[in-house]
Amino acid sequence: MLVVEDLVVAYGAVVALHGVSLEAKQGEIVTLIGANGAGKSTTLRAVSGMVAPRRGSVRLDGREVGGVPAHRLVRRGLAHVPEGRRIFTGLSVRENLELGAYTVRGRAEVAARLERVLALFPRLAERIAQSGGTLSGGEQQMLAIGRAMMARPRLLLLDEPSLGLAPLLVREIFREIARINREEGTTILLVEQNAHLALSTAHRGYVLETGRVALADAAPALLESPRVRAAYLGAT
Amino acid sequence: MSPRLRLLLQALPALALGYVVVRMLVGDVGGGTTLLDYLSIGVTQGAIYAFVALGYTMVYGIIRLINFAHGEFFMAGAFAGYFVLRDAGIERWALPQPWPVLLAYLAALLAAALVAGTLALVAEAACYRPIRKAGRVAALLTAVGLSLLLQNLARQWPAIGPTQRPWPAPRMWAAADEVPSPADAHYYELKTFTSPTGERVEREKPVVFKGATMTPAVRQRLAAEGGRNVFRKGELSRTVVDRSIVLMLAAAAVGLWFLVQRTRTGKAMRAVSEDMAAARLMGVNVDRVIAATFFLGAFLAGLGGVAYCAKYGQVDPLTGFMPGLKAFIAAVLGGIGSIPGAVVGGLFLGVSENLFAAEVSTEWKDVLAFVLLVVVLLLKPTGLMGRPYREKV
Amino acid sequence: MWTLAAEFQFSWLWVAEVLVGVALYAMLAASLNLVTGFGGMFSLGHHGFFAVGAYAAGWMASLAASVEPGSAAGWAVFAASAVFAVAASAAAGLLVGLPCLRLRGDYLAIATLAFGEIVRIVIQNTPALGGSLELNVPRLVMRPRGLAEVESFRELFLVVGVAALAVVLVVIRNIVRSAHGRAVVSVREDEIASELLGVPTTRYKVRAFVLGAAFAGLAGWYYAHYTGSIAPANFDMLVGIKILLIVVLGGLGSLTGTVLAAAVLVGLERLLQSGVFGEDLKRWMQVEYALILILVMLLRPHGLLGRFELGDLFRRRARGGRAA
Ligand SMILES: Nc1ncnc2c1ncn2[C@@H]1O[C@H](COP(=O)(O)OP(=O)(O)OP(=O)(O)O)[C@@H](O)[C@H]1O
Ligand SMILES: [Mg+2]
Repeated sequence: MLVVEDLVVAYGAVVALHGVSLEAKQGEIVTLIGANGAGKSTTLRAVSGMVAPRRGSVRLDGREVGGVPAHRLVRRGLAHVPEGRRIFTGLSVRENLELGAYTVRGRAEVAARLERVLALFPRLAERIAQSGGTLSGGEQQMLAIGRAMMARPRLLLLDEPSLGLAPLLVREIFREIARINREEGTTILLVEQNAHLALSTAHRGYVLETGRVALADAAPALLESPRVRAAYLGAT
Repeated sequence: MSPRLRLLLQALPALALGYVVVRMLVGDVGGGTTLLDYLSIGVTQGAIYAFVALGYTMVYGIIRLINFAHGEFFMAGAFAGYFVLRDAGIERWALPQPWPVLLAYLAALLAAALVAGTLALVAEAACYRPIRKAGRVAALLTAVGLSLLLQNLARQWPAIGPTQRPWPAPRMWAAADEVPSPADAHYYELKTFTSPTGERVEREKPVVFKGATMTPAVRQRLAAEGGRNVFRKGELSRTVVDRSIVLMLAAAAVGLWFLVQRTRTGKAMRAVSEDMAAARLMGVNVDRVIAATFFLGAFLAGLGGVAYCAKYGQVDPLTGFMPGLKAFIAAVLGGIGSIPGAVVGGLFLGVSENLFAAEVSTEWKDVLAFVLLVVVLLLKPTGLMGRPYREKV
Repeated sequence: MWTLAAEFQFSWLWVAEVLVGVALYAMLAASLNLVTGFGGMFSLGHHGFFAVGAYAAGWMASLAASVEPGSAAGWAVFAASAVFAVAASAAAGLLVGLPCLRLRGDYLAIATLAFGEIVRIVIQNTPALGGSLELNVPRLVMRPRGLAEVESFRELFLVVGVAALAVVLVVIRNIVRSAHGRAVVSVREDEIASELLGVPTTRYKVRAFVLGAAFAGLAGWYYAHYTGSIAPANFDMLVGIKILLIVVLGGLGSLTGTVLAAAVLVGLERLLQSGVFGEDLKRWMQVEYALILILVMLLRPHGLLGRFELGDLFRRRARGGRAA
């Protein structure tokens, strides 16, 4: 579904990715792990069109999308929950969710999706009229994911969904992610600091180091890998 | 302050405003020197400021740009309206009065709004979009440059030129046979000829004076020409102009509120204003939303341009400058970025200026706007209706 | 005084006049660069301080109308009016700076814009300053009669202008290099961080602002004595914008750039005015000027030299949190 080949991305003079290749097949959860500044978020940004790649290719369903502006990719079934949630704090929860389905015409369809997302996250239903900025951090994270789900993406990019959440909530959110993948068949590319949790949820994983793929394998294999255990799982 | 007291303090000006507007709608105010007259003058002027302030505020709200050229969109609209009124010939349509004049004005307003809006679209695509990433100072100077450019283009352009022109007074056209005898007003016919420099010039030539009778020869000649070819000069009554302006503002404000709060485009506008990149991730075509915002703001400015010139009776290339500046102040007073703020700020400024002129001094009237601006900025930088100052770290 | 018959164009007389204009605008722009380029305060009302200085000097000179030009007394009043102009505009700077510098970014720009307009309207309504008409500034050091004297008058003022500009540039450069200046620049870079590090940001900002105002006042003094008559229309918003434009063209924080940009802009303006490019271009001069402004912004938004990142000033750091 998604194929990234030899991707190079630079911010001005700072080269963030030096030729990253990875792949996510239909229905998979693929996780990217790596240290701070390894280029995980940059990879997601390049896939969703927020930054233009300097070199290499990003293909979605076999079609090149490198350099296509972000708003067009949404219509091709891609949704990106960016780092730091980026919900619209001045808009109500309902409006935030409706914006998630901005590309969808037809009130009935939007209403149906809204209902479904609210069923996934009942907490949001209780706060539907509240403005986004008044939600707690965890609720905002749910809103960010729910908003992305409103687009019914075929490929969902998640950037650190666990950031700043209580452990209990993190587990809840990851259960949701697995369920979305199972029930809706959504392909998920997951960036996560909590490597253990990410690898337990995902089917396959990539380890990124300073802008390059250092390891790629099935998730259980990575969990067992000594190198990963030493560097990312805190095992001694 | 207790909530009840605060509510009262907020309700009082609103009630006063409501009272003034009602009196304006039902009676003839604005001609005398009572407080009510000055208030109504202030409300009318404030409504024009508000029209223009809406555009400033929308553009600022979405891309944080003080669009100095907004006053020139206003001017361009005013000229579009001027030419439609003068040259389109709608007033000659064979309809009972006052339909021809009314339709001519509607056409002028529409043309003004569309010309101003189109100009804003072009300006946005050609200047503001390319400069958006280069930083705020560069964008601001570009806006200033655009303002200068449009002003001076208008001054140099032969069809417009630097001189002040009187706003066309409505003409009530009639066929020669319809002129009563003795005539109930001065009647004129329009002669066009080519000047030595090759320009087409129009001259009003009297046909018959009030109380006199038309000679049969003239009547015959005119009847032979056919159609409505003589006119008497009408006049826009002050009350009609004032009422139309206030009602137009009310309609525009409600319409805009509905658009921004209730429609998909409005939601996209608010999203872009808050976080452009995140809006893009929702599938919002940010460039298009920004262009739409410019169009809408300039559309309103065009309406304001015709209203302003019809009210004050003249138009020239610098027409947009002072109202533009004042409207900008109004937008800041009300809280730049806020749509209700633009309306409140406009009315507040219009009313305070006219009360000040009436009670204190006319010469110092212009300084009041700037002093108010500084005072409000210092006490509440985000304006009367703005959100509390939020510092992004 | 600012326009000359065509036959004098490109003579030394004309060139001297252009150079005086360059010195004047370089002074103004350098003083604004201290405020905006180094201090990070976005001001649209710098012409207000220019006006305060010009009128202070002009008013003082008008009190000494009977002094013989070129006499010792004349020179004394000439010098005293410089001190007075600088003091007056510095006081105005303090008056504006103390309350307004709490405002940030656009809000400060708007407040300073309002200040500039207030100054103009106040002058317009003050009969002692000539109201909306001209205020005559009596000649104190030389009264030019005839062409030859006009020439030496201009030469004299060219020397005065270059000297004043040199003083302004040297003082600003020394300030910027001093500890004080580094504090000012740190305030520009990141106000909140500097505050946390214990830099008294407001005090440094006010100092830079007042000094910038004082130098604009010096430019006003120079202008008033050179032209010999001043009017509110000489100090409208366009002047403030022209000053800001020079600062941006020269590069925020670059003094060399400022002088260069002043030369380019004033020179270009005078060339267009002179009609060397033909009468059509002269007639359309205002249009061309505006077009050039826009084109320069579109093509070189970071200044002619482009040495400094203009965007850093107002663009907040990218949210992703880039590595330092
Ligand atoms: N807007 C930017 N401008 C300049 N450099 C940037 C920008 N964004 C990221 N970088 C740089 O690119 C590199 C990769 O950043 P990225 O955000 O992709 O890291 P990450 O793996 O997501 O890290 P983290 O786990 O901390 O989120 C870093 O060195 C960073 O400094
Ligand atoms: Mg990241």
